[in-house]
Amino acid sequence: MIFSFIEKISYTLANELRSECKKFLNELQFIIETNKDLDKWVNENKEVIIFLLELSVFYRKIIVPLKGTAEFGLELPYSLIVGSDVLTKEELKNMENIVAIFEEILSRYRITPCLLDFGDIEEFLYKLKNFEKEYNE
Amino acid sequence: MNKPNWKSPFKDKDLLRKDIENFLKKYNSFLEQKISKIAIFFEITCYNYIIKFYKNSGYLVEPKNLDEENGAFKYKLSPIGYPKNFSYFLVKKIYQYRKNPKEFLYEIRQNIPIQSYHDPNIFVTPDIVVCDGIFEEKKDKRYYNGMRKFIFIPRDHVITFSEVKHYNPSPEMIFNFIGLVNELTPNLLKPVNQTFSHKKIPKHLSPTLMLSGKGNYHARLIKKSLEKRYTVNIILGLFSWPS
Repeated sequence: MIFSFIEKISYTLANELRSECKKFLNELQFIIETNKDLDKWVNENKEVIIFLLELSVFYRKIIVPLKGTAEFGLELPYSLIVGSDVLTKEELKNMENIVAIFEEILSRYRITPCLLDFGDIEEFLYKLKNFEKEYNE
Repeated sequence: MNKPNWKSPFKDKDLLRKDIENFLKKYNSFLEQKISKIAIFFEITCYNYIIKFYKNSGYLVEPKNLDEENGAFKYKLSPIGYPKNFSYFLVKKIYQYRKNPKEFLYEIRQNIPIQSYHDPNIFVTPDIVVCDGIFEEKKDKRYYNGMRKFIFIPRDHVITFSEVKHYNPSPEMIFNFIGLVNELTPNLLKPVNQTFSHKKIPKHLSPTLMLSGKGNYHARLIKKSLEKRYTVNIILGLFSWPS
């Protein structure tokens, strides 16, 4: 099983995501080998499933913390000091804009935060399968 | 009526890949700059959630000790540093207490050592603590090599606390939290009906473990079981939707 998405981003970013992606990819491999109901569909869509899986980890680990910080920071009447950095309103606004751009890309494909949220790989596959079915209707 | 021009990640996968790659190309350096701070942002966001809890529970919430130079809120993100050099939130609420109005005041602090309930010489430092603002200090060469004062919250002045982890939960991680509860607020490990009542005032959040990862079925079973047994909150998937 290969990484399709995170190998194309910088080493520092990829490092943040690698172990979680690897864990989910191993679970996916196990399902392909053992679950006869899913293996045909998974094999047919393997490439896009892996991509969305990695996208989900990226979204949850990188984008959502930025979003949480920006949203709360912008509600406050003062800047935030984090270690040696000062997060000014301008910087928080910039963070918020970048998050909005990313979410806009997802929304073009009707990918919602709910779709990217899952506890284990079976739940994710179940959601994706339903999502694809709804599209085809 | 025309259908909106939706794209599908299945049918338009190359387009999606390209869109994401373009996004990363454009913002990679910004994200890289922020990456080392992601766990910190998670901790800050959780701290902010606790503040929101008190605000939503009718407490008056006030930031204190803002930076003198620029008026910014200075987060305390490690156990190092004196509490007086960092900002915190003061929360207050007036309750009818024994037929008279009484104001209750608490401080919501970050990374301050707390004295163990069982042994006065042991200290642990949860990420977030709600206390009544009483601190004690000792200068002892066994703490920080005696170079600086050791400031801590005495065991009877802890109201509640939270531990924050930007990880996917494992059973061991969740059970470790119960160890922390045992060390700081062991009375909350009695059966829930002996420690919890909706009538009790002032209202506080129980000791809370906040995790970014949603965890699998087993993790969710452990959460359910522990919350049923003890007065604790285990919040999984805090950065997922719906959380």
